[in-house]
Amino acid sequence: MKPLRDLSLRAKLRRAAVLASGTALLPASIAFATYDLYAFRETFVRRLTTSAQIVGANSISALLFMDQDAARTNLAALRAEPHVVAAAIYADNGSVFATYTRDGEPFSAPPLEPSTPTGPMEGSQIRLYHPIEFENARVGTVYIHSDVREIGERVRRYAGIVAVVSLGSFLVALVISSRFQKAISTPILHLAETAKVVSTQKDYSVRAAGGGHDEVGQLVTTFNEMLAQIERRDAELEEGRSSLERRVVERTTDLQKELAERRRTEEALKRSQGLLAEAQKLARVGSWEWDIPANKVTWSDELHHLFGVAPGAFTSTFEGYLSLVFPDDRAMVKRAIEESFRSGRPFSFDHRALRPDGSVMTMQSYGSVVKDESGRPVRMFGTGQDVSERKAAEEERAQLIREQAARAEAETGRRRSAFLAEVSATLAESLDYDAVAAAAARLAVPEVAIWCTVYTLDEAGQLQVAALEHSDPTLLPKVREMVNRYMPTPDQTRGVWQVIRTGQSDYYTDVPETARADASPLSDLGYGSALLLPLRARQNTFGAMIFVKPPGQELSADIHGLARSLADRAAVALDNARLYREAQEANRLKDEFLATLSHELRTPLNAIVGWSKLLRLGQLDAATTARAIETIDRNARAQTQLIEDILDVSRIVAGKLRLNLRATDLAPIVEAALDAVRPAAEAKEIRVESVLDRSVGQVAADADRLQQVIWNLLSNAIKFTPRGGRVQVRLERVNSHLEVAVADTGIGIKPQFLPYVFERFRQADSSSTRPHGGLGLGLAIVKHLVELHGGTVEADSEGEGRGATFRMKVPLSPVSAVGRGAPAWPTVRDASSAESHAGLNGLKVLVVDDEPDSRDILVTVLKGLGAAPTAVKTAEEALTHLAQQRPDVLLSDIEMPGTDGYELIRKVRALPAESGGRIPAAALTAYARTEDRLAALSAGFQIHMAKPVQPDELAAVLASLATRR
Amino acid sequence: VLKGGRLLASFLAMALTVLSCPRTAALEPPSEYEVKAAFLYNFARFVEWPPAGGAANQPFIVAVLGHDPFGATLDRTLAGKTLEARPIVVRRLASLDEADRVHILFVGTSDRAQAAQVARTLAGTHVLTVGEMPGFAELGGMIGFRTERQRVRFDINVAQASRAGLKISSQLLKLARIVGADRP
Repeated sequence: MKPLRDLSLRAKLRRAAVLASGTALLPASIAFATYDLYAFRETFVRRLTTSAQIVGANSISALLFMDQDAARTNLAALRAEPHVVAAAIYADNGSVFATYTRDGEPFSAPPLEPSTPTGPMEGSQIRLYHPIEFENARVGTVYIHSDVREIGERVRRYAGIVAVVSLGSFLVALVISSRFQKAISTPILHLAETAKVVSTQKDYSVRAAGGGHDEVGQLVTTFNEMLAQIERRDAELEEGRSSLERRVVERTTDLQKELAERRRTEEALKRSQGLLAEAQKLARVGSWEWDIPANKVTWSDELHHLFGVAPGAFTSTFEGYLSLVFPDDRAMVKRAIEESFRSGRPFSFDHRALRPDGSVMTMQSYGSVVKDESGRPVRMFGTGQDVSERKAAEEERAQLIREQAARAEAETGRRRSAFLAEVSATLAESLDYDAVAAAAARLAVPEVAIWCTVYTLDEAGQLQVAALEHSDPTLLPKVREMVNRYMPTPDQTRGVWQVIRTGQSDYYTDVPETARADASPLSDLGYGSALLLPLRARQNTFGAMIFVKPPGQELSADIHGLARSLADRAAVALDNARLYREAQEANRLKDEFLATLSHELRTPLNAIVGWSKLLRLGQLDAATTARAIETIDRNARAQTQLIEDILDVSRIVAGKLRLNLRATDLAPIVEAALDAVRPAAEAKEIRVESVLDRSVGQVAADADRLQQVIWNLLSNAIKFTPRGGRVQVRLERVNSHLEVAVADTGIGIKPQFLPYVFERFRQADSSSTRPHGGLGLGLAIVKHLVELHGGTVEADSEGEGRGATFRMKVPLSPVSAVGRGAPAWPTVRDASSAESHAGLNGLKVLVVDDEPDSRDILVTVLKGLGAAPTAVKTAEEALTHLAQQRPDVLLSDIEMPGTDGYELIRKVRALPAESGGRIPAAALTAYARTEDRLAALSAGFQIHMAKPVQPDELAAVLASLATRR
Repeated sequence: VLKGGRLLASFLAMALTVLSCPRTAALEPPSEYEVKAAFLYNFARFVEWPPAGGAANQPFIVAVLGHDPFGATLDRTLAGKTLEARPIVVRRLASLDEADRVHILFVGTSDRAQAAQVARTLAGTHVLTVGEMPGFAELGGMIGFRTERQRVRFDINVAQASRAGLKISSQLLKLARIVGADRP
């Protein structure tokens, strides 16, 4: 058999048709047959299952009612299925209930095999078991045995059909293909014939015949078109050849003309180059060009001359040029050129060059880069100029300027240190406050400012102009007027007060907003800008200095520094002056007090001693004797009172004055005090009036001490009220306070003395010629006692000779007393009376106090009392200790940094009882006011003790608390 | 289609049920009253009563009137059985007074007049009456047992049952002899 490639077109077409039909048909037939068989079998099994289901369902009642006849009747229905060979129904216990065979022969049903599932196929046999279920319970089983020989027959039938169909199709394909192949092959064969003619005779005018509109027809048409094109091309080629010969002649003529033109241009170029070289020589400018891809550098003659290199001696590359550049400048040159490459912009730089003769030249180089289409630098050109002389001149000038600046700076520094030395010296000259302030202002003018104002706060917190200075003394009155007119006020958010509040300096570049109305006169006085600097010493800002600069004068850093130094030094000097003054004042007060004390002690003593001598002489009559004794007694009592006062003050200073607070009515106390002063008032014919509201309620007070207070106020009033005057006492309730007001028609108090009324050793008139005696301690004691009661006392007077009013306020007792004199809350005294120290042995006491001395003394005292104290510094340590050591009693200070005593006890009380949340606790504090006491108790302390506490009191309290565990 | 595993499991469960049956039950044929007791239970499963009010799980009552031929057999057979989740309770009645409250009433008598009396008294109630005296169904009872070739068979009076509102399954009717459609 020939290979397929060598077969004729006819044979190929025939075979294709037959093979295609055969290969398509055969698998399709087989697939169809297979599918049909499979589907048939599926259907068969399903049908059988359905039969079993129907028989089973029909047989439920037969099974349940054990009616085998009925079951057999049901099975007989299977006769409709000819392939069912045998069937049976089993009861639920597996025994055969009914049977059926197609041929009526007896049939012994196979035993029910529960382990064999209903596996349908065994060769051509199907055995199917189907359960019979009723109400979800199995009541029996249907068994069907079926013979499926039918399937085998079906397979044989399909094979026959496939064979017949395949054969038929093959024959039909053969006939059809032999008819069609003629229509395809005939025109192709004709075309092949024509091509052979063209190729052998080279006659392109021959054309192939015929062909329809199919692909073969197109092939014939294309073949004919191709022949036509070849024919046309032949003619064009002939035409082209003759035109080319003509153009060669024309070009030759043109070329000759061009050559003549170029020759003329070159001559002109040569002439202009000569002119350029001459110009370069005159300007000491050389030009250069650098062919970058070839790395070839071309210099003009003048450039060779400038570099001092003969044209032949120069290595005409970039590296050759670089080697002539001064070594320190090479990196800079490279960088500038690379930058130009990148940016494409022209460059300009100066560099030094080392001539072969050893001289150094400065060259100013300009250049520009040319890039090709792709952005690659291809050419660079530019000029170089010798600027050595210009450079030298510039350098000289810069040096000169530097020297001048250095000299000026040295001069400034010298002046600055001289100024500061003068400042220090001047400020140290005096310890007088005003003199120091004046000196500070004087120093500022004119060195630092055209005018300077020094503001300071006085003792009462009022702002004062301590000093004022202007460079033109004749303008000083006007300046002072302005300064007074625009005295700063605390409500301003900018200015002197703000500087004092914040301690930060400020700078006005113009007239302040508040003084805008007087902008023009201020400008006449030289105001342009103002620098405000705080006066600050020992972390306290107590004033400010204002440095005014004239218009148009900048505030230089130098001047600013000077002003700051001046302000700092002035602040220290002023602070020192103030301290000195205060020390002087304290000293003076003490001297006065001692003088007064000696005088006051001596006065009654004089009377006592004098009358005593007379009594001893025994020459007095009865009336005189009585007067003597009365006088001695009165003076002795006066002296006792003096000494009592002194002792009270001493106790107050030592912090040892203690109160016995009880719920108390004020009216009887006021009345008792009135009774005590009445004789003195009557002696001066002073009318004493009292308006007492008896329904005001009670206060927590030490009755004796409060009586002392009121007595003091009344005595004072009577003492400073002239004969025939009037003193009024008023007791009333003002909100949550009781107020006792003592008003008199006496000499009054100067406003400036009012703030000092309650100070120790202060007396409005301490001269030896003063009309009123006394030590000046009474009101100091009054103030302290009232404050110990949680109250306040204040003095009020409309001025000298217009009387004075003293008001004492004490808070109402927040707890109503059970009975008169009963304690309003547990106090130290109650605790001590109730308990002994017996329970203190080994008592674990946790002491919390931030103050080391307090801790030490408490621990020492507690150890002495037999307790086992532990002391900690902070509330946090206390909480830790509480958790770990479980102390018996907590003793805590109130005021502590961080967590205070109130917070500590709140945290402790928040703990569960087993973690120590209910530990008995005492507050031990210097705060002894009623509010403090209440705050401590409400925060969770059982008891409140005022510092300092006596050891026996402490012991009593702890013993009392220990029993509450 | 069941998966092989599940199919196997259900067979195994069935096998265990078969094996755990008492040996005597498998070998010896049941007595007549064991069969009748089982039939009483099966009647309940093939008869539909009209829906009754009250709770869904009220007990299903099987009662024996008068003479009781079952002895303990009926109680043993019905013990633990339920009908659509309703427990089955066995009662024994001396008179017809409470008979209208039961679902199946087994009339133990062999007196024809008494049988007719039962039918009259229970007319208008939904009680399935079952008896074993000959001709019970023809006399106005609903299902009457009879014995045929040593096997227990039954007659059904369909007309009487449908008068009482009871629907009898065709499965049951197929096994019975239908009797006395119109006789009182």
